Amino acid sequence: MSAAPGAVRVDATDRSSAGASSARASSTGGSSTGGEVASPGRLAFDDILPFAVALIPFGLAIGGTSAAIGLSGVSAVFGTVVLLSGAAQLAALEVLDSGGGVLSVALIAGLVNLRFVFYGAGVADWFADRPLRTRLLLAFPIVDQTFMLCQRRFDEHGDPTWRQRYYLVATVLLAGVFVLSQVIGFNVGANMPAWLGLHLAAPLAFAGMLATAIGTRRDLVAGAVAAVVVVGGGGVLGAVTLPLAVVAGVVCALRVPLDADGGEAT
Amino acid sequence: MSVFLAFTCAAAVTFVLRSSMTWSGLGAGSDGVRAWIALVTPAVLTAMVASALFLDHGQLERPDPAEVLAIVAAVVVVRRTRNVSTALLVGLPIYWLVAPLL
Repeated sequence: MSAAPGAVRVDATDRSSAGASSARASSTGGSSTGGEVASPGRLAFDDILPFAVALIPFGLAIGGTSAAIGLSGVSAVFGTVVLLSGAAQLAALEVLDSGGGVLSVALIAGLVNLRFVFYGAGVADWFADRPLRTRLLLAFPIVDQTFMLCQRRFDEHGDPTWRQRYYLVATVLLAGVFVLSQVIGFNVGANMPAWLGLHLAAPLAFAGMLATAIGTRRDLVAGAVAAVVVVGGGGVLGAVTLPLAVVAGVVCALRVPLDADGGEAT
Repeated sequence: MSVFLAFTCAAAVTFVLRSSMTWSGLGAGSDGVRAWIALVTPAVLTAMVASALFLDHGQLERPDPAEVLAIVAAVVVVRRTRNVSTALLVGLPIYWLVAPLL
């Protein structure tokens, strides 16, 4: 789910959408700053809706990819629900399709989702007064979109119950749309002709995410080295090609000194 | 069965990452860790795109020019619009138009 829209990084357009939603909520009494505390469910619905809509094409693409590589419907939905991470799911599908094993899938999912460590820090902070088991359960579905929204909303709302309701409504709506769009994509995608290029949906989604992820020279080096290792190691390194490429890219990029301006590449 | 096992392991790793700050009681980590994690995203994404274009079941192959063109166009448009969803909206139609010509 977190990715293109889901694992998709929160980009400028998304932020504008959320901002508009926020403004709508405020103008209709949705904000607590005017005195009356807004309904967390209603506010969460308004805030997450643009993200949920943006997630539909991505879900369709993942569902179609799952069908294209021959997964059963049950295994595809299982992967969606237990991962709740679109980028990692796509990466896992690519690895499975290229013949990678269980360890390679787990490794690539871990690498793709490393940023969730920071999101988890947010959950630990927002729900610090909740029992450990509740906090662990709440950490399970955190994704890019809910993290961004909660980070902003929870500055205004400190009540733990309000926060929990807001978080859960936003999460359920987003996850529901994501799973449903994948189910549709899976069923439609399996019957689609090859010329539609459904196999290209995943690389396109990754390319879109990549376009917003590259911001510094270090990012460029990390990506370039990873690509070179993938191409150079193709057919030689086997299932470890992708994880090895990622590690090589990061290690090389860390050797690039940051400029005074922070290393901005563009 | 291996697909279910693979997804289960991937989900377990992901949950460990999501919950690590909860059960460890630590902060978000050192600057070094932050820098490392920040670079993983571009490296992973580029590796995935390169893999899709250049590898077929782990073997090196000549990339399809129509696919390359679609990917490049998607990157350019998303770079300009900052809207990730446009990658599919732009890339797929370009592939449909160009693939029959090449």
